[in-house]
Amino acid sequence: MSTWANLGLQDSASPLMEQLIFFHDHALLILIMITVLVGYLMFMLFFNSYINRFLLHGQLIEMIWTILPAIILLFIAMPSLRLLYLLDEINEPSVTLKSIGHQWYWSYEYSDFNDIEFDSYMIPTNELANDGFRLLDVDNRVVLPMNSQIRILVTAADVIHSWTIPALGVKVDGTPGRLNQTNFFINRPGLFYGQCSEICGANHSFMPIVIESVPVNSFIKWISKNVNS
Amino acid sequence: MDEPVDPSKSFIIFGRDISQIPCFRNSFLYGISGGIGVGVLTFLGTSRAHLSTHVGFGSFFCGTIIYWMGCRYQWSAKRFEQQQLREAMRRQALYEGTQVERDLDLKSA
Repeated sequence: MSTWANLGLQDSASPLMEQLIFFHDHALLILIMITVLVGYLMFMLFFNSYINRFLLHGQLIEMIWTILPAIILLFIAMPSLRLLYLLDEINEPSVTLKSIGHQWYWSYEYSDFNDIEFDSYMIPTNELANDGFRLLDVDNRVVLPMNSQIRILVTAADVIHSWTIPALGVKVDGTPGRLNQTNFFINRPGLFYGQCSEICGANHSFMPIVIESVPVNSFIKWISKNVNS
Repeated sequence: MDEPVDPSKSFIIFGRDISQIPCFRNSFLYGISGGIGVGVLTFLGTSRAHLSTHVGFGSFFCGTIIYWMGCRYQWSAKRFEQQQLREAMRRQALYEGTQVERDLDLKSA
């Protein structure tokens, strides 16, 4: 989860997020090298003693500094497009979750299982336990099975919200009157936190999302308990 | 792939342990040492300090990027093979002793 002064990506809990991190490392190294190159060129200006008042063009160097960046961009674009299409791959989800954004809470529906529905409100700071996470913990978490493909349908009831879990690499806008679908796969158990990512009013910062990833048999027990209650 | 982290080798910048990024350490080691080596050799051969600096830096730049591209591609290919192997072993354990395994054995025979 995110802690204060976090600058980088969170540890991944999904194969797609892993791939996003690998691509981020790849792109960042290229950017670092370009920055070092530009810094070196600027530094060497201090030691330049050449003056040519009538300089108009240099065909060779212009060819080099056009073709070289094009090649570098190719090496960024190829993995980027591969990942882009990988994110859109169709698979067979075993669980479908519906997430509806409201001002200012999320409601969830598990329509596969006798219509389990609940709302998920942030726990106010004055009611938080000593070991709770301020502005992140909720009263009812979204329980999902690990190692299973999950389909999520996101919408909203009033204004645009956005359902996000950084550790899973998921961010989907919830627009009123529209259903947005995405798939994800959680490959380890644990709690994964996210926050609403589209400005939606006064309490936009206070409607977090918590996913509790559990083994499949625990998920089935949770479903049975909630269907019965 | 999932080797235990040696605390003495960890190098944390902005919350990320960059020693754990595959190919990162080797890319810069080879790049920097190659750059210094080529730069020194150029100076020994030409006695031109500025040119040697430019050549050394160019070698560092190209060496780092080229090694990184090659290493990351090989790492990615090896990782994919490992995942395929893991999945094949999981399926073998799942289907062991069942009719599916017998059918597959018949198909491969």
